[in-house]
Amino acid sequence: MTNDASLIERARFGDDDAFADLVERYQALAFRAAYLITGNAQEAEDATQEGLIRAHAALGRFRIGEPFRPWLLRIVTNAARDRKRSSNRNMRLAMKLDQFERQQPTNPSPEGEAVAAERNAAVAGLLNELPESDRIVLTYRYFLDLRVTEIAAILDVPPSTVRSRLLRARNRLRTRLETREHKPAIDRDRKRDS
Amino acid sequence: MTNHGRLSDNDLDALIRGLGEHVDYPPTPDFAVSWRSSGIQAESTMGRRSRATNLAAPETTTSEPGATQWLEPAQQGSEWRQAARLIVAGIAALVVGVLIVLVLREMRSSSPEIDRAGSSELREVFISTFSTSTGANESFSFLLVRDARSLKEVFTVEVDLGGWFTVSPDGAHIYASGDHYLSAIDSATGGTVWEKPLADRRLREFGIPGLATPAMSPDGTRLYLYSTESGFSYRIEELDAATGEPLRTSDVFDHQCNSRIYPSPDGKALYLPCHNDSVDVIDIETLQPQPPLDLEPVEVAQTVSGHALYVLSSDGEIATIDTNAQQVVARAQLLDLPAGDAFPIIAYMALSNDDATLAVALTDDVVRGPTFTYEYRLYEVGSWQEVGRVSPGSPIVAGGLTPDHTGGFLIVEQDEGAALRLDRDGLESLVYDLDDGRDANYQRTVAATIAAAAEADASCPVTPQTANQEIRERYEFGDFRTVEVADMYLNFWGTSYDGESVGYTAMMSHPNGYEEGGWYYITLQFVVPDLDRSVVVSGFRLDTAGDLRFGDSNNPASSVELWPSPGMETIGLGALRRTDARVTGSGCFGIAVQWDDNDETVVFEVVD
Repeated sequence: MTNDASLIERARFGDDDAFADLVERYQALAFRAAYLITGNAQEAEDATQEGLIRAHAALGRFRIGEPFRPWLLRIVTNAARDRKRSSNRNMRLAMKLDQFERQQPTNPSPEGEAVAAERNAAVAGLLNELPESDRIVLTYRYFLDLRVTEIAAILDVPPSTVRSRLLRARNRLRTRLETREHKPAIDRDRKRDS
Repeated sequence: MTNHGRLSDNDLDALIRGLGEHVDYPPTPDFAVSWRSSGIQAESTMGRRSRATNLAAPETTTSEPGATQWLEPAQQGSEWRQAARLIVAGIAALVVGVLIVLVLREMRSSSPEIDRAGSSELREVFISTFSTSTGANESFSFLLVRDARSLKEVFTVEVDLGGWFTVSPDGAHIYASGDHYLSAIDSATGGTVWEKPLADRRLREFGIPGLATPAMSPDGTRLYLYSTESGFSYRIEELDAATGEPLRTSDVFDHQCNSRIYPSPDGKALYLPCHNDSVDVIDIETLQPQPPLDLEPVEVAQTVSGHALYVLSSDGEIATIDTNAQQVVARAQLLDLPAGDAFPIIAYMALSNDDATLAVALTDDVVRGPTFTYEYRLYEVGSWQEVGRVSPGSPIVAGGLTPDHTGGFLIVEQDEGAALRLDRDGLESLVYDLDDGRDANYQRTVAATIAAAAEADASCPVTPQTANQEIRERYEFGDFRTVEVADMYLNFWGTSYDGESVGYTAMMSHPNGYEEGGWYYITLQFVVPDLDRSVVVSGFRLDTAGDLRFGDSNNPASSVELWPSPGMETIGLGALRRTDARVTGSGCFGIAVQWDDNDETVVFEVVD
């Protein structure tokens, strides 16, 4: 397989097939990254398109030797953020929750299944409520499996900031989950006491 | 979940990761097919046409199944759509032109090379290595450079790192070796200067990757690469430090050594501690072994000048080697270790940067099981009198012991990277958290001076309130963007809240809406312990240019009381309280946090 650097070099000198090869290599990831921000298929598609155009136009300034993937994702991510901002639409990730609820192999009992499914649905809901910056680092890290250093390059922040955002996002999720799961127990106790 | 209903890190990770598998992604459009079929022949870099110009042409549609149609709505035959398409395409050319300018600006403003260009300043740093593992087949190693004073990250670079690393005498380069490559890294930028495969250089006896560690000649022109595979024999290779090209290779020596190389300052000899056996001496001119020194090294430390090498043996004896004379010049009993197989065992040793104090870390995990508790002992060099002894109360998995720049030592905790400072006065927690939210595993930390731009000098004045404070954060306004700073913690241990101290994080917001009448807003978030009394947060200015107030614009206050109260969002044993602080555009500010008998201050500078 031709490496990125070689394709970039060719694309810089006008070989559109080489750029298409690069697009082919990263389009799925780029589209998913955009979708995780916009939460809307059409917006994600437009943002990805726009990002690819920007990337193509900026190829001459790409520093050979640097990793291409985070560079491209950074442009696509910015395009997606711009689009989401201008559409002023709340993002909600569509989750296949019906499958979710059926797939609970580690909780064989009906009660366990219900609890796990409920928790997963809650996580999905909470994820949508996170601030954008936290949600991006969390979803890019866990859903797209990007490295911290890549996310830092994409968001143009130091890796330490990505790490602290990850930590904070995880803590927020954890706190909300625990609060959420603790509350019914308190309610139950109150009912029982009364 | 634990019995207490607390989600463990692993459970939370699994939960989030599992959720990722259930995101209902739409099918990915085939952008590549569109790109190929659009018939665009981009020009060379010097004169490439804008893709947007081509997008305006109606011929760029494609009929391939699943293909994206560039900025075109699906063809539904609607006339208004056709008209709209033409208008959109025209506007698109303009918009993309503007976007290109914006992208250019963004790239210019974010280029690390530009940020650090032109600097030949020296900066005192700590260089750590750590690895992260996110799955059975995924592990990455990193070299992390932190400013020695502020402990802020200078840069992190992902490297192939399995061996040691060394810094050139002028601080310009860091050389690191891994399983596959030997790399020279530019200290100013973190960029790779050269990278050479180790396959042909490493001593390979069984066809599997072996260990290769570099050391630098005192004049900075040569690299010496120790390589081994089995650990029972080794070879030294001399390389040109500027290019990484090999110059000479020694014979293979059948000896089991520790892989570290210590050059003599006269450039004539290399010293290799060989575990519990001897210290090998290699003549640099011939790359031939000299008579070994009869010692049983466990840990070795070299003075800053390189003239003396202190070798600690397993029986507790410390020997001093004159590296230019190539002989042992002194011996003394440093540690009174029980005979036989009784432990504690020697874990780490380091020499302070003023060559005055030797620190030894001992652990007894072999005797008492894996408690990972270390005892640190400090000795005055020369007299070898014990001048300090510290035993941490809590288990700390030390990832190493290294001299800091003040005559003391730094200990980096292995799993989360929390740092402690050790000196004759004891052990102090510097409490910085390197946890990346995954499984970062810190292996080594060394103090070094590198050729990287130093942090801007603190421009904030020193006041009685801030005499012992460094500027902990610098907030930058500009470009109407939101700047989010890394979390700061006051007396906050690692990532877990102890329920007794006050934790503090801050977030700077700077969209237009938050700028009112010359004030900028910082959202402060405190983790407040469950106290009977309130936590008092006061803001003050350190110079005449700034002011800091709390509350809304109608009722600004110089301090605010935060009361723990039922029903608040909780983290462990504490409660989250938020407040907004307003600062004027630029200046130096302090936030003092008082609770019970505690009083802590964070100083920060706002740059407009």
